[in-house]
Amino acid sequence: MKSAPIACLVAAALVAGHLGPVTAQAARLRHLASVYFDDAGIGLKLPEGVACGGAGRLVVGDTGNGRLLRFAYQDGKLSGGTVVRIPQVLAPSVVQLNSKGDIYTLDSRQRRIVHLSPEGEFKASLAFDGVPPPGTVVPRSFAIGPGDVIHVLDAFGRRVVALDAQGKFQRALPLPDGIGFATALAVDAAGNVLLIDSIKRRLFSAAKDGSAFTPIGGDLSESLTTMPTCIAASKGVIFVVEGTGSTILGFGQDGSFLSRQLSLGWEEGELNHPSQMCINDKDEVFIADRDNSRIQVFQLIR
Amino acid sequence: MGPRLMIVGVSLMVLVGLHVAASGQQNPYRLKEPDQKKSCLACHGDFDQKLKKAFVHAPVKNGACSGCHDPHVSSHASLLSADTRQICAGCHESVVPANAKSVHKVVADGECRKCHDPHASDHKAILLSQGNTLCFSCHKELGEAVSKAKYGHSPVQQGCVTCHDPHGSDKGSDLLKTVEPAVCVGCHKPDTAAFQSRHMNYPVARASCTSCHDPHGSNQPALLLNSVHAPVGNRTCNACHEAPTSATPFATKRPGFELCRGCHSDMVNATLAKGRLHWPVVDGRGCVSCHSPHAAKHDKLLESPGAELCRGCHADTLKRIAATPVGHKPVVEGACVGCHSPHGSDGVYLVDQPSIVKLCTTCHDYEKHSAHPIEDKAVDPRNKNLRVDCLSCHNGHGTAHKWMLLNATNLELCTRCHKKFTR
Repeated sequence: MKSAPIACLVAAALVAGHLGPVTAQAARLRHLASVYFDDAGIGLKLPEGVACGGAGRLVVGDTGNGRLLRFAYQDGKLSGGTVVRIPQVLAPSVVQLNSKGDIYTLDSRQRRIVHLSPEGEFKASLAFDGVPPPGTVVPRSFAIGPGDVIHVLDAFGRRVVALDAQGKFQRALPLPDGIGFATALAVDAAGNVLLIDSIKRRLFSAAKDGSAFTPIGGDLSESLTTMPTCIAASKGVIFVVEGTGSTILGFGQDGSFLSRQLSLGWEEGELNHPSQMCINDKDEVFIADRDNSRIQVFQLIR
Repeated sequence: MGPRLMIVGVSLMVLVGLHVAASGQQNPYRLKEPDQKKSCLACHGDFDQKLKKAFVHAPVKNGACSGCHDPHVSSHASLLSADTRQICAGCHESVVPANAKSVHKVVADGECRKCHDPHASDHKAILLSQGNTLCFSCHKELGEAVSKAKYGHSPVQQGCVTCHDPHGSDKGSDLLKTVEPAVCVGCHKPDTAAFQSRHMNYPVARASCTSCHDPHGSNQPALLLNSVHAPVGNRTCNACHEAPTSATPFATKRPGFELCRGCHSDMVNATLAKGRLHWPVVDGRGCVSCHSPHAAKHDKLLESPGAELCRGCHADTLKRIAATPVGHKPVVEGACVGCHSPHGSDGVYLVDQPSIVKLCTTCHDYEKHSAHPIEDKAVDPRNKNLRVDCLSCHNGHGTAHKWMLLNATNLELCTRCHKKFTR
């Protein structure tokens, strides 16, 4: 009987070793729907932002039209399309939702992050009070993680600034030495901050309470052939959105290449200069398909 | 002497006799001419002249032709017994330092014969030609610049090897024998009053001289690079830097673009008012991501000319363009800024016009090439949110097809949108 536990362990290890990569590699995107219009039939124009949350909440940064759109996507059905147009937001690009459904968006014209209620009423602009020098913060992207902590990629300060749910400064993570240019960041379910260097094609991560970024794997240039515009993390897979390449790449937590999904095109299920990507708890994937002026919805099949 | 001993003795004599007889026969592989040099020159008579040159490669002088050549067969040109790199390194391995930080490309590529004649030459070190003439036979652009420069640098006239090691350097980049600024302060003593005065008392002996000066010659006094930032020309270094007496004299007074905005406020403010930024403008380095803050060889203080500058970040795009058979003229010429605004714009792709059609029609007269409707009223049949524009049929960087069309045939191109005509 002594050999039984050992055999179980070996079997478990074999199964785990087998299922891990297979599960990740099997992840693919199946087109479900596309979003073209608001509730009045006005078409989207060069949308760059999309955020998804619980209860089917979906908020689109309709950048070219200078507005936000609130939808619900539940049980495969899209509803809503309510326009949110406020003077504090002129060109919403990146959009995020916190756990309460509050909307945050990066206004790419004014280069500030605006906080709105779930219904789209203006609440505040992030002030970055207490942030260490340099006092100027130029947000390139941002992501909201567990505990509603807001992580802002500050291009000017070459750092990631973490703010609590009330917008108070928590910590600053310097970008790694020798980095080319960081385009996007994401926060995974465990609170790890992920960062991508769009020039040198490297991924980095910083632990939830860490003080520095460390590289994930090596040079991704072989698979990541054009500049990335967004990254998203879900269940152990890091998804990288290629803008010019118009594909979605999947990488393991060790930086290993897993998959390349979708391609450049105009048909539904194809992308043209995609921007932001969001994955909800039902593995539904929303992609701001910028140059096709639409949002596309996919099912992530693992 | 017993009969046995006699038999052994006779046998030995027979064996010795046989050996002597065999030795007397001709060795079929023995060279007719025992002197290898004479043997080779019997056919390669033109080498007589080579051997009269002032500098003859030692193996040639010693007649060791087979030190480099296989006299019978070879997989390498000129019957060389190995590739040039291996052959030369066999004796001259030490010309490249063990921990070289820079190696001359021809040396790394084993192209020793680009500089040296492997047999003989009238020039020292069996070089193909003398001094800078040899260097400028490849570095033509530099040679022309040196010859045309209004102000020359005497070490250049003395020879490139004054500062550079032609094989490799374990000291630094650019084959420099000594790293900058040590290579400069060897002659230009920084502790003199004149030197300090000229440099506004900034401790430049710890800085990079080539960020302002061109060591090969210039049309500007003091060998300043041809395009000089006004504060450098005016010697108002403290317009941007802390005082020379500061603990950090080279620190800038403000970070990134905020420093440049002090003088270039119109440009910086106009850029920041755009909907889309070229992100290096606002990253921590700011303007110096593309512009040299002191002086540069290129106009507008650019670090590199044209597309070479863009390649630093957009290498993937330029690689694809290079592989494109039918290119767009401005793209082929490296004029990325012909269409893209390098600072920021309101349009996608940083184009400096409100729309793609407006951009293209600044050069192309659309009315003359097609009657196909485009722009606002031309709804793309594939997607009601899209309008037909130039990029619906063309790729702005180029394609494999004539006129940079997206497809090889009109049928393929038109049926991208007009699907009902698909055969």
